[in-house]
Amino acid sequence: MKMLKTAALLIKKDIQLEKNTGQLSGSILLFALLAGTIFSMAFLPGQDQLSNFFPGIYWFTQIFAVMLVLNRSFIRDTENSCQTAILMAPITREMLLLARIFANYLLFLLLTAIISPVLFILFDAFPVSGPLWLLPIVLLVNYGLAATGSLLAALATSTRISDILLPVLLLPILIPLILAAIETTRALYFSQLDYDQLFFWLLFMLIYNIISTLISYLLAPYLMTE
Amino acid sequence: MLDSLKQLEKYLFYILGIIIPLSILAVFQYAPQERVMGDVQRIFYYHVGSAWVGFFAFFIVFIASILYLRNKEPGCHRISLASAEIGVLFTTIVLGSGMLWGRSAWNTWWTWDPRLTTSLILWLMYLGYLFLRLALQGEENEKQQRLAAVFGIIAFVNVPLVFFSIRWWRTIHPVVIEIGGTGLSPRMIQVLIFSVLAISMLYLQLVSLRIKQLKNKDRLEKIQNILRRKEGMAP
Amino acid sequence: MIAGKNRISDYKISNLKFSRDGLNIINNISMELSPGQITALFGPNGSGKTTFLKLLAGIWTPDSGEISWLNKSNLKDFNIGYIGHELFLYKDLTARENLEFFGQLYNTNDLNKKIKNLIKEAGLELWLNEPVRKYSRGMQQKLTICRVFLNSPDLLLLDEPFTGLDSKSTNFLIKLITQNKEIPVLFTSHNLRQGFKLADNWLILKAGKIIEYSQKQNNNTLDTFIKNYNKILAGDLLDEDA
Repeated sequence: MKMLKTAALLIKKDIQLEKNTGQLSGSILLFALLAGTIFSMAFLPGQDQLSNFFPGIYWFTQIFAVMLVLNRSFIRDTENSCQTAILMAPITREMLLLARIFANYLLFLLLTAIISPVLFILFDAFPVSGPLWLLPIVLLVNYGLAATGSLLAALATSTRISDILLPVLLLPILIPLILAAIETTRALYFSQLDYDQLFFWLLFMLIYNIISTLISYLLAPYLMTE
Repeated sequence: MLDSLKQLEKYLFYILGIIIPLSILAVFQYAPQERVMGDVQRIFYYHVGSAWVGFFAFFIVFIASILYLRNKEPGCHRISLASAEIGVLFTTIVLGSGMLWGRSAWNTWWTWDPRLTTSLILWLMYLGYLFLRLALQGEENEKQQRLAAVFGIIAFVNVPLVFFSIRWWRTIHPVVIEIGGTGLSPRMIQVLIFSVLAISMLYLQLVSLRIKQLKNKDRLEKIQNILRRKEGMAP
Repeated sequence: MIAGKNRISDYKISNLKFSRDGLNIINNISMELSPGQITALFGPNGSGKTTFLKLLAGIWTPDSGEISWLNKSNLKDFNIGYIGHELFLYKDLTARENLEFFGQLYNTNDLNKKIKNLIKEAGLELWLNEPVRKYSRGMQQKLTICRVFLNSPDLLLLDEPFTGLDSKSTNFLIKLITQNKEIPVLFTSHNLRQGFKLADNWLILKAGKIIEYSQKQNNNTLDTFIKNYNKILAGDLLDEDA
């Protein structure tokens, strides 16, 4: 599929940019360690309180890392009008945005994979019940982050104050997703897994992701121009 | 279009001169005192009216944004901006009145009532919208209008998602407090309807006035540009 | 260089109009480009040359009018070669990485071979694996030129491509332009002499309109052309556009 091929090219290019400038991957890992450490000092962990605050910490760490990544992912394309050059290829604007979403999705999954063990260990917080459910949760939440995040990053990076504008615009839009992420993750920290809760919020996230993708598709022509 | 707007705005201004004092009378005299809360309950009339108008204002932003993107209708960006500004104003009133209500009725500054919380997020989103427009001021007009319109659409689509997610979230973490009507007597309902109407008219008048201002500002800028271009015409 | 196939029958521009911020920049232009012909576009600053080329390249969308090669159906296989004021290169990637990225994006055949040939002709072999950030401006321009010719474009739109090039790079570009006899080339320039020599047709754009159009067959000499050009510029000084 054309879109996947384009996404693959974009990912490869981003990886090369990373290697040549050595910016992102190391800093993200360091950030995860720092965030985890600071959080563990701010919240004195006690096993009984874990379900109350750990899901929040877990997902907030991910969201902050995501913010850092999103901004850069578009900025490099707008410098030197590279995005215009990309658009002159036989590729529609919708495809370009969707490819960008997919590329970011993979990156966010990688982030989660790196951040999770760090946080689990620091807080001694492995899911108590149904740990396998962590997988669909992570897949759904990160897709939502990628779809909505890329859409708004495309918007924000067209301005000159994109690094502050992106969180300001993105966070309120992410609130439904964040609620769902936290509630589903919380469910895994009770000895009895509440399946109704879990399925409800998983379904909600699915709907959120579908709407997000649809809106991205519809608004792409207005965003991905010079 | 500008002329009819001018007419409308003037018209409303005079009508409001009568309606607003009447509504104040209605809220403070005509409406009966509520048994449990006493006079504080009268906040309710402003709270509900503002909430409705705030929501409606953002709906207008949504529609104007779509119209701009689909049909390139001129002037849509002014309607969007004016409506967003006035919407933020009324949403601020919603939040303020909600907090006063909560404080006096239940001794708490913030209740996590779903509608109030949704209003908070609505407020944050539209402040973001205004901030976006501010940030875009240095850019050229087409880009300003296009990007603002895109966000106007995204923000409004998010509203039902926010509302439902918070509502369901609240059922898991229930809070005894929910702002809302206990039974309303007929008189109360009359006053409520009247104040909603009054506030709606106020919204229309303010938005028309603001659009007028923005239009004049744009005209001024256009004249400036023409003058500048004449200056720079030497080959 | 593998010659680009003629994928569309004609290169027609009809009734093109474009305005920004209430000002008409392109004022109803209709013309046709011929395959194998090189057209030079002259005009004073602010006449709309850059805007015109961006419209033809599909970067901006006109308010009204038709550009035949930008029809959705034609667009799939049609490669537009555009050189503008921007760099269109990733400064943190090497020349090779840049060319590979854009080459693959544009579905170029025989990518490695083409990269090798172009780099060799541009004289950038020793810099192939250095980030573009380290290049001088002239080298960056040469690499931009390589990028454009990588996938055998079907149309060349060049916005002041010779500005800032040294003589070797200028010859490099001229060679690439004249190599392919089957595609139309439209370029803008401030250098009347050079444009006159290189092109088969000349256009003058003023205030969004094509004022003059001369072809080589009309036996214009350089001097008459320059005289006419200056006349047109001066004559319309008091005449404001609509």
